[in-house]
This record gives sequence, C-alpha cells and structure tokens, in this order.
Amino acid sequence: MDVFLPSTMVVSHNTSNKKIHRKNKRWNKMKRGSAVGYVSRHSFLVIFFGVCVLGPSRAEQPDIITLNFQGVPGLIDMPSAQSLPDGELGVSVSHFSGITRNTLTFQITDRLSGSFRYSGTQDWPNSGFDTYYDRSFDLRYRVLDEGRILPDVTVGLQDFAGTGLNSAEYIVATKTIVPKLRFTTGVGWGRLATYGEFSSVFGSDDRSTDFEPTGGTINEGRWFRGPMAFFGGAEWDVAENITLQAEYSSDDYVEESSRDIVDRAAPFNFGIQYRPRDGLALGAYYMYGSEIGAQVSFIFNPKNSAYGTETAPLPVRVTERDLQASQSWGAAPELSTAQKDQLALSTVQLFKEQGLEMESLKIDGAIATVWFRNPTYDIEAQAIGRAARSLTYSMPEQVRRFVLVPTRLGVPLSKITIDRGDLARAEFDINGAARLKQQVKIEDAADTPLGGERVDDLYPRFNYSIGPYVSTLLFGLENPVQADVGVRVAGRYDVAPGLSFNGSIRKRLIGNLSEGVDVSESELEPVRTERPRYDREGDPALERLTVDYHFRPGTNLYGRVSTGYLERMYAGVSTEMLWKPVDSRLALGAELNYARKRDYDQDLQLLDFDAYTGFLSAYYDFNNGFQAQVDIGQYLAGDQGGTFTLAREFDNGWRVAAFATFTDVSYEEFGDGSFDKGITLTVPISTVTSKPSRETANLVIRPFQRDGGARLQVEDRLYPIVRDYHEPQLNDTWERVQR
Amino acid sequence: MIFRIKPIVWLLCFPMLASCSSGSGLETSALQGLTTTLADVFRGNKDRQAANANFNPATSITRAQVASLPARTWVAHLDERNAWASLTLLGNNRGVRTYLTEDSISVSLRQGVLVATRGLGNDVHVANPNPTLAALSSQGTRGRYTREMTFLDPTSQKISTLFSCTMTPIGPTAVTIAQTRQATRQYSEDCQSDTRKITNLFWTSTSGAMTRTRQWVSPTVGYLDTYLVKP
Repeated sequence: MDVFLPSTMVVSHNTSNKKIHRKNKRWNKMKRGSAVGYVSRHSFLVIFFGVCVLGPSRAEQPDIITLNFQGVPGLIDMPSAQSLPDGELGVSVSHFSGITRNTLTFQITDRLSGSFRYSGTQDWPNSGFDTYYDRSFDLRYRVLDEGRILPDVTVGLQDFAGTGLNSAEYIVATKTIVPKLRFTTGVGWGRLATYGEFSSVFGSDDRSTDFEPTGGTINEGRWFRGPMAFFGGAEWDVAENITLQAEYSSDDYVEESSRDIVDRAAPFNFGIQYRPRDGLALGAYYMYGSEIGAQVSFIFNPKNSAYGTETAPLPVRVTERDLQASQSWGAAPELSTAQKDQLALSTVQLFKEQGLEMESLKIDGAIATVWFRNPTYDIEAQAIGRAARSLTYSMPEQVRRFVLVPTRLGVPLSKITIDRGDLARAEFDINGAARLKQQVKIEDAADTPLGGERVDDLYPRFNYSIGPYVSTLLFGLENPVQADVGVRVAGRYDVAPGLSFNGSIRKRLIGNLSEGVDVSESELEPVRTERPRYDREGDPALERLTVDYHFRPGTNLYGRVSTGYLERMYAGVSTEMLWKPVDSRLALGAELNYARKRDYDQDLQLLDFDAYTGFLSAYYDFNNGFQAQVDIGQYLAGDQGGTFTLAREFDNGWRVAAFATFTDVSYEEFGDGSFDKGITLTVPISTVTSKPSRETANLVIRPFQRDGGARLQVEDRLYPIVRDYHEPQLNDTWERVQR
Repeated sequence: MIFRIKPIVWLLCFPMLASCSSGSGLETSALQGLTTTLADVFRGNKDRQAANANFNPATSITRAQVASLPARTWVAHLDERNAWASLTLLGNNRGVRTYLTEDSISVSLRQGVLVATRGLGNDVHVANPNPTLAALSSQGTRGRYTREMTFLDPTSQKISTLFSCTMTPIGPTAVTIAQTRQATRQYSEDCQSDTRKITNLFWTSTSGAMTRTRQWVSPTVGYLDTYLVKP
C-alpha cells in the first residue's frame, strides 16, 4: 500500500466556503420539539416525556454537527441522529485513558454514511504487543428527517464487520427543542447495551460476545440481538463556535474495566467543544466519573475545494466568415506543403502557450484535425476549449471545422468536432457552453490514428523524473503507521505512438518498513505477505522495467500489452482489452496475465513461483456521482472470485471508493481480516493548490493485505485513461470548455 | 510577463494566414512596469502589499504615453486588493471586447459593461450586459430590470444568479483620466439578488461612450474599477 505524493504537493487546504454547521436543506419546515421518552432500569437520566415544545424554524439556525469519540455524528461517546452534509468527510482522533480512536467518516449519500476506525488500546496485550489495535467499519442510515414534531432518526451499525470489540447497533433520535439546544436519545444493542441493560423486548436475549478470531466477517447474526439499553444526552450551543455536551452512556467498558484500562465510575460524560475555524473542532471531556478525554476533528467537503486560478485562456479570434450568416463554408483552396508546415509550427507554439502539446496536424480543405496531449488540465473540457480557441488563431479563415483528437500514451481517445462559427457564437452566450455541447460531435477515434504533419521531436522522446516517494503500511496489526521515505528515479522512452519503455528505481533514505514482521502462518502461497522481506532486502529496488504497447484494435476497442518487471514483486506479461463506446456509461474489459515472482532484493532475478491470472471486468458510471466496477476472475494465489468497487466521484476529481474481494479462499485460510477490502481516497492536487494539474494524491487504506484476492499491480490500466475524454466524463464538467 | 502576450501577438499577425486584427502589435506598452498584476495578488501571497497602490489613473499616465498606446486600453483596479493593471485589447467577438493584463487575467466587456473574467479564480463565467446597456441608454427611465450573472462552483457546475436592478442617474460629474478632464454623466445601478446587494457605477461621456466603471465581479473578487485610458 503506497501513498503517492507528487513532489509538488503542498499540504494546505482551502475551506473558505466550508461550514461545520450546515444550513439545513429542510429549512422551510417549522420546528416543533418532541422529546422521546425512555425509562432505564437505573433511572439516572433526566427523562423527557412527549412534551411538544415550539421550536425555531430551521432557517434561523444552521445545524451544528459534532463528531463523537467513535468519529461519527454524536455527543461524546454516544451517537446522535444527525448526518453530515452529503459528500462530507470527517477525520477525528479521540483519546481517553489509554484508548485512542482514529476515524474517517464519509457521508456517502444524503442519508447513508460509512466510517473506518482504527483504534488502539494500551496495556491490552495482544499477540506479543502491548497495544491492541483494532479496525472496524460502521454504517449509518438516517431514516427520518427532523420536522415540526418528528426528530431526525438514524439507525447505525457500529463495527459490523470487525472482531466485535466495538460491535453495537443503535436507533437514535435527535431533536432541537429550543434554539441552540438539542436532545438525543436512543436505544442500543451490543456494546451500547452493557450498562443499564434490560431484556430485549424482541425476546432475543442471546448474543454471542466472543471476538471473532480473524475479524472481518459480517456479524449479521448478532445485529439487534441481546439485551437493550437506553442512552441519551443534550448539546447546547452557547456560542456560534462553542458547544457544551452532557450524556448518559450505556457503554460499560466491560473488557477495558476488567483489564484496569478504564476506571468507569459513573455513566455520565461532560464535554466542551470549541471550533476555532470552519471545519476544525477541539474537544475536552470529563468522562465516566474519573477520566479526562480530548478530541480533534476536521470536517471537509470535497465540493468546497479551491477555485481554479489558471491563467486566462485565449479568447476566440473571430474572422469575417464567422460573422456571415451564410451556412456555406466558401472556397477552401488547397494549401501548399510549406504553408501547412508553417501552420503546424504556429499551432505547436500556441498549444504550448495554453499548456497543451500538439502531436500532429492535418488540414483537409475546410477541416483541420489536430492530435494533442493534455498534460496540464485535470478538467478535460478545459483542454478541449483551449485547443479549439488556439486553432482560431493559427488556422486560416478557410478552415471552418476543427476535429480535436485528444491522445494519451499515443492512443486517440475520442474525436471531438467543433465548428468554428459555433465556437465564436457560444463564447459570450449565457448558455453558450450548453449550446455548444449540443452542436459538438463526440465520436470514436479508432479511424483517426495519428496522421498528418507530425511534430518532429515527439517520437522518439525521453522523459525522466527524480522525486521523493513515500511508501506506507498503515493500520497494521502491531503498528499503526510504518513508512519509508526515499528517492525515486523514473524514466519513460516513447519510441512510437503507443509504444514505450518505462522504468523506475527507488532508494530508501529513512523509514521503518523493513522492521515489518513476516506473516508466517499463511495457508496460501505467500503471494503478498512476504512484503516485509521485499521491503527489507530491496534497497535500492528496481520497481519497474517494462515495454508497454497501447493501441486501438478497432472501433470502441482499446488494447494494452505490458511485459517485463511489472511491479516490485512480479515480472511477466499483462494483456488487456477494453470495450468502451464514447457515449456509453458501460465499459467491459478483459485482462490476462502471466506473472513470475521476483527475487526479494528486486534486481533482475526471478523466483520459481509463477501464476496465471485473468479477469473479466464491467465498469458502470451511474451518472449521479457513483461509479461501480466488478472484476471476476482468478487471483495470484490461484483463488477465484470477484472484486466489487463502488466509488463516489466528485466533479472536481475527488474520489472516495470502497472495494472488497470475495474468493473461494475461506475466511480461516485468508487469515486476519477474513477477506481483502479497503478504501481508496483520490485527491486532485489542483483542488488543493488551485493551479491546474493532472496530479493526484492517492491514499489506499487496506487494513489487511493477505494472500487471498491479490492482483498484479500493473501501471496504465485502460479504463481510467480512456474514460476521461468520453461523453459521460466530459458532460459532467463541460462548462469548463469556456475557461 | 510580457512574454506571454508576445507570441500570441506574433501569431495574430502570422503572415498570409490571419489578417492582423486591431489588437495586434502591442509588444511595447507604455503601461508596462506600472502595473502590479492582479493575479499576483490573488494567486500569490495575499498578505503582500500591492506594489502599485499609489498609482493614480488621473495623473500617473501622461498624454504622451497614451498617444503611444497602439490600441484601445483600460486601466483596472481591484478594490479589495488595491492592485492596478492595464487591460490590453486582445479580441473582439461581436462587440464583446476581451482585454488581457500582463499576467494573463482577462476581462471581457461590451461597451464597458462586464461580460466575463478569466484567471481570477472565482470568475464571472458569463454575464448578460444587455439589460444594463439598455438602462444606460434610456438614462435610467426604464424602471426595474433583471440581470443574469453566471459563475462556476469549485466542481465546475454553473451557478446562475439573477439580480433585480434599477439604474439611477446621479448627474454630471467630471472625470480625469490620464491628465485629461472630461464631462460625464454618472449612473448608479443598484441590484439585489436573493442573498446579495451590489452597486455598480458607470460614467458615460457626452457622446454616450463609457469612460469609467465600478462593477461587482464575484463574492471573493469584489469590485473592479475600470478607466478608459485610450478609446
């Protein structure tokens, strides 16, 4: 699991429009309070019976949402029914008496949220280590929205697939009774029913409390079973950025108390949260009658990233013919070769000014076709607009139509036809971009391979880069963060369109990955679990040395062949074919690989183990911000099954994805984690620096990389490359064609 | 940053291919060096003191300098940052003229009324200038009218804001630009959207031509002042 940090990455954030409290979407409903009553066997708690109190309307008061010690919307240690605004990410670190919880929460849709938690409990000996590290996942769904009478109501599954340490379920209601004062009350099961519990009203009092040996399995047999208990509390926003909290907790910390980790003297918690700036919150707490706690949380909405501040584009150069009403293009006298050379030269220059690289130009009467690369703009429509406007400067008036062919790795990805007159008319029209979108044709480019006047110095061409790398192993069983930092030298030699040699070598400067402990008990072929040995022995390491060929076998088809030292652990041959019509939301792919294990010191030697892997893949863009991928096939250890990936994609390039792989390897054979799963977070550098850039920072959180469900890591797989210039992707951000 | 303009201009006049437009030949500008560039202020360190804070459009440019300007030119000032820049004509699309600063910010105006900006970050995507122009030509007798401005949010989605506006004549005012005093009529355009109240100001010469404006751009950019240095 690597964190790729481009050397230019600036660690900063722009949250100028960020509000920790949201204006509620349901603001026009009047708010009347209804406190939900509950009775606990120990009736310590202030009990609110169904008293209706006239509350404020939502419009007057934005919601303040605090994250609890589990990192989800809540009070102190108990959850509330509130949700973060759609798409928002919350990161929190909470600590009290030897327990630290780090949580990443993502509001997947308006109602549904998911969380990943990595918690460490000190002085809890576990497999030879003093600290017990535990990974858990939560899901929450808001079933009811706050209104005049009704509260927000949320159903939550806490640690629904982990070892069971934090396992709990709850149904919770939150209501603002009077302005700035919120009450929360709920009923919990599992861990949230270990104090003040009573027999289940559903008569299902037996609940297995054993820890799952390997974790990772869905514990649906336990959900909402066993004793129940009430919890609740109140929050009071004494100032716009200060909230006071008090709660009654139904968590008895049974395991922690028995190990003298937590001294739980009372069920009450009190806290104060201070928000020094938008998104950032600091909390201090007095917990369970004896402990002091603290929390830092940060909430960020990818939609509120920085505005792009690129330099101004060229305006359209309007010619006499653009102004004529006549639809006829007029005469287009044949240009001489010398003239065409001159035109190519000036276009190259203009494209360079605009951050683009022209590969080739062909002028055929009134039509000019340009093949070009976009190394600059992460929003592809912007590159399209800049290319087209540049051509209005270099192309003589007789050229009436531009055919733009964006290429990547020498492969034409689509063919975008824009009439010069339409471009001029759209420029300052208030609906210009939308109108232009209707006039522009986006077609498959298989029939337009690189042709015309080639730019001389593009092939062959050598590029190299020297930069830092960070390689991490996060959230391990015995160590939360292991990382190496070093230098990577990478080179790329483009021989001809589509054909390239690629290599990279890295040298560690500092780090502790080599201290990783070998996982010896793997029942499968150790296809990935020998990573610590690769980390130890491979310094310096030849990461990659490949010959790659990307090509267009036919209409709607894309092909790739990569051969050589594909990745740190494997050499071999990887072949891939993708079917993706330009206007389709569906893509289908097939991949076939032969892999041979590399020597641990990552020189040119190979080990004996080899494997065939292959997959059939389907990709679907739901066109509502969600994108799904299913891969079915055979993995490195010979296991067969499928990988399911669901991603929330924001139009500015932010991407939050979850994946899970299920194969015919049993949970026991797989080992810790039971099956391969994880979360990937993609952050476009442009949204951080506000400068146009195609760089992204990628973070993969994969709690257990074992030998089951393991795939080859091949660079430049087709789908992410191909879809960028296809209709669904271009449509999402087409307005940028004007920028 | 003149090197950014130069190749463009050179290409504008590419022999035989493109007829030279009126915006060509601007390699040497008398305003060069006087401008701090708006983009520096926006893209760079916002705490930095604007270098040309003391520039004065009435006195800092001489008539001789104006005479040497090859084409229509404005100087512009961003209120919030106190930064000055010259706007050099680059293109004309059916009466909407696009001007470029030395560091590649562009401002597009129709008869002085703001249509678009580029390179400022939170730019005006497209604004409809026609209701404002009509209100100016009727000297404010037209009553209430609607003006639409569009912006892009950080995810590149278009946001349209409708302003309900009135144009009020303020009266005759003398405006001095580049040591030349001229009689103008001043107008105030007061606009209200759901969430915002803005006031744009316009000064038109006796012939009706725009000579000076103060126009709202966007929430983060604020107001832009423009002075027509060379018609």
